[in-house]
Amino acid sequence: MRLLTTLLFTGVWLLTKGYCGGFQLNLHGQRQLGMAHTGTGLALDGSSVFFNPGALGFQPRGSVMIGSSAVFPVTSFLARTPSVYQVNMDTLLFTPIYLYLSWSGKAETVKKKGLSYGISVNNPYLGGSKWPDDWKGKFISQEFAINTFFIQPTLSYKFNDKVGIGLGFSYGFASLFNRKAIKGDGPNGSEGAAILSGTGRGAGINAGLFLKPNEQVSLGVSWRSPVRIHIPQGAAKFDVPESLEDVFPDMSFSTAFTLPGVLSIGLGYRPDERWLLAADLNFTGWSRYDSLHFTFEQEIPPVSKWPSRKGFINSTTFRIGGEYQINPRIRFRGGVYYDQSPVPEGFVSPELPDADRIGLSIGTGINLAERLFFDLSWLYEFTGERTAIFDEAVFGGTYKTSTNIAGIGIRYDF
Amino acid sequence: MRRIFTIACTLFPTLILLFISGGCNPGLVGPNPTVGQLNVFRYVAIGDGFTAGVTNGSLEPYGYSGLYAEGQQYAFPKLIADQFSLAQSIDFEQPILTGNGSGFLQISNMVASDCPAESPSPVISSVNPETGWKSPYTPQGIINNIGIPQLKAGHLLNDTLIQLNPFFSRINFKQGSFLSMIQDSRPGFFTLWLGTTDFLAYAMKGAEYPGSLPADTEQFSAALDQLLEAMLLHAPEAKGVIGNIPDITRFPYFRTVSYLYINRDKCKGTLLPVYITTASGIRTAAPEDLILLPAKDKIGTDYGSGESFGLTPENPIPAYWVLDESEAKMLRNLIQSYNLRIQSKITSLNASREKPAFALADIDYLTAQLAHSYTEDGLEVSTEYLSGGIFSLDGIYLTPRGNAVIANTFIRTINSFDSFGAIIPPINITDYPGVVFP
Repeated sequence: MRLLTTLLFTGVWLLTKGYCGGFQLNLHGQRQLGMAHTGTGLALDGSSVFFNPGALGFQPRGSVMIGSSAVFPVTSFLARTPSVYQVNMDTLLFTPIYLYLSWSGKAETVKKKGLSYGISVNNPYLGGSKWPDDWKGKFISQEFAINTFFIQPTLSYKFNDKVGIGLGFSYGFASLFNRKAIKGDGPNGSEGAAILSGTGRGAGINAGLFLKPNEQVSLGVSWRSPVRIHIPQGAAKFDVPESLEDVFPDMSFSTAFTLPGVLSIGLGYRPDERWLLAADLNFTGWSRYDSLHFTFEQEIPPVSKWPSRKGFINSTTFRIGGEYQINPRIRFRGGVYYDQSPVPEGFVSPELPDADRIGLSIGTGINLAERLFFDLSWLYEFTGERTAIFDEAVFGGTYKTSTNIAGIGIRYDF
Repeated sequence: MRRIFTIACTLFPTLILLFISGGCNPGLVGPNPTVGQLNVFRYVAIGDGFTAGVTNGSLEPYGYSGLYAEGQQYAFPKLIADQFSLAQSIDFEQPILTGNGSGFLQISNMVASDCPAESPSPVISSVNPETGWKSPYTPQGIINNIGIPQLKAGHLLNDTLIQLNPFFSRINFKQGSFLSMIQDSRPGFFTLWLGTTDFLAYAMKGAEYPGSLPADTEQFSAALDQLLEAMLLHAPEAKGVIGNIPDITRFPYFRTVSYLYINRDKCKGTLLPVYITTASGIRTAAPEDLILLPAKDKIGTDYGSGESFGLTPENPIPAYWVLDESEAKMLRNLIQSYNLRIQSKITSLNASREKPAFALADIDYLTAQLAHSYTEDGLEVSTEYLSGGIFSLDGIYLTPRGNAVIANTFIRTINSFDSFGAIIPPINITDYPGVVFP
């Protein structure tokens, strides 16, 4: 039965292709995901390495956790009235992962006070879009993808049963991909394209404070710093008619951008042994992502005019979730969140057609063996219809996105 | 316990399947297109080469080339008709030429510059016309596109001149006058855009030939009256949009050659003055003097009466390739006074109807925008030669993308004209190519 379920689940996962609509991707633990991704104020498991390094010492054991989610959003676009032009974004399969390792000194010490250690590997920022090649806005964007991969070794110190702090050093790799049509029509209706791709690196920190005043209540604050990513040597390629190849030589480009910092405040409450309630607030400093400017090795007019102003503003996410333990082996979870869009009017571009989102989640946790835990989560996220104009390219319309995210995770305590 | 486990594990995939199938395609609903009060079943387009769909025509003012099937299918009236069809399916018959039609220009290759960081320049060659392209065309129903390349508004006062035009004679299957063809067309809806050729014929020869001087405003007005009278004679309920005349001196034909010549000797790029011939004698060109496109590749060569064509007072650019400041100004003033006449004609026609039935498509304003900054569908287009995407290789007539922009100007005029009550979706200009490179 278990095998069958797993196979069915995996089948659904692989059959459905999807892509992420957002750019900060909060899919960092299946248990948290079941509860609307709350967790800053909880000491649930080894995922505290990422959620709140201060809570690491409050785990009864060290653990290894691995998990992944399948994200499949669908975005529709309707051009400005009275146009009847409508198109759906292409779909791609996208699967962010996480891996957390945590351990501490002697179990005795951990219960009272002392150091614990952890390491986290995940994709905290990720997003993109892929429109049909011949769509109306092809001169703005055909495909855009930004992906990050962070490794974060972490130290945590527990002062006593009530207070813990932690600090992680995160080192990240980022990749950027950008493709759009450019002027330069060839015979047989072929069209010019500019393709930019590059990779870069950056570093930051993740600090956390965890408080557990009594058995019922826990509190947490975490801060992930902004990370400046430098892409010193990206590759710019131009697909143009043969006679224009000299005008558009392959060249390098450079760019730098800032991944925003996130300040999170979380609260956990255990009214009894079976219930766990949690609430989180995330303040994301998106205003640091104000531009994505490409500096090309050579100036080519059609390319140097690449829209670069992003104009993002800081945003807040409100999350509330809960877990109910039916019996010693099964838990059910549920939650809801509201995620403010960082993209203000005038900057809503087909590259990342963002809007305020509401997310509904459910999840379940199964204790497969004494130290083996299996978690599933499912998240449905949707936006209202957002009608907006991208001022820099004078391009407007109505966007609407709905996203299904299915997640699976496993944890082993040692 | 086992039961709960089973329920939990089967519920999940089921729910996910449900939501994938049901909740995944957020449909957005646009407006319902409607033609409103317009009778588009009989849409007739009247005009000159711009209406006919001339593209990549001749660099000579009286060249008959540039009309061929590939260009005709992108003629702006055809694009408008296609959009009407989104609301109401209509037929729109055009007198399509076969094969290479009346011939056209194309870029055969690009020649790289000897100097680095210099754009290559195109080699433009002409494709010969199809033999017998002037042979008569007989329509299945009516000819919806009565766009006659080289037709001037001024010709309307002398039908003999129109009869000599092979583009007219080939579609004149009833062997009548031009105005009788207009009478018979009995449009329910029309677009009329005529008068630009009157100025082109004169300006493309450097404003040197008094014989091709545009008619004065009174004569233009009389010609327009005759045309409108003929058109409305059997179609008193016809509604339509009339385009005004763009400032042709903004077209790339007049704007591509600079008044200063970049001397590429040893790739240093020093600027040299260009000598032009004007009514007041030979002088160096000023920014306001317009040197015509045919002179482009000849400056600095042995063309003309000696060496260094255009760079010495002994071998200046001849007057027929120069629209000097005063000539350009005269043309602009005359265009403005034609346009005022078009505007007042529309106003008085509307006054004669119960509800306004005639709208103005401001092509002149569009052209001014194109000369500065114009972005549609996220694509910046301009009056720039080759790279602007609007004007074809002749520097006068439009690319398919240029036709789409013109069609959208007419469509927006229709949509914003209240008494038409129409909602016509505009065209994606990005679906249509600009200048095609090999």
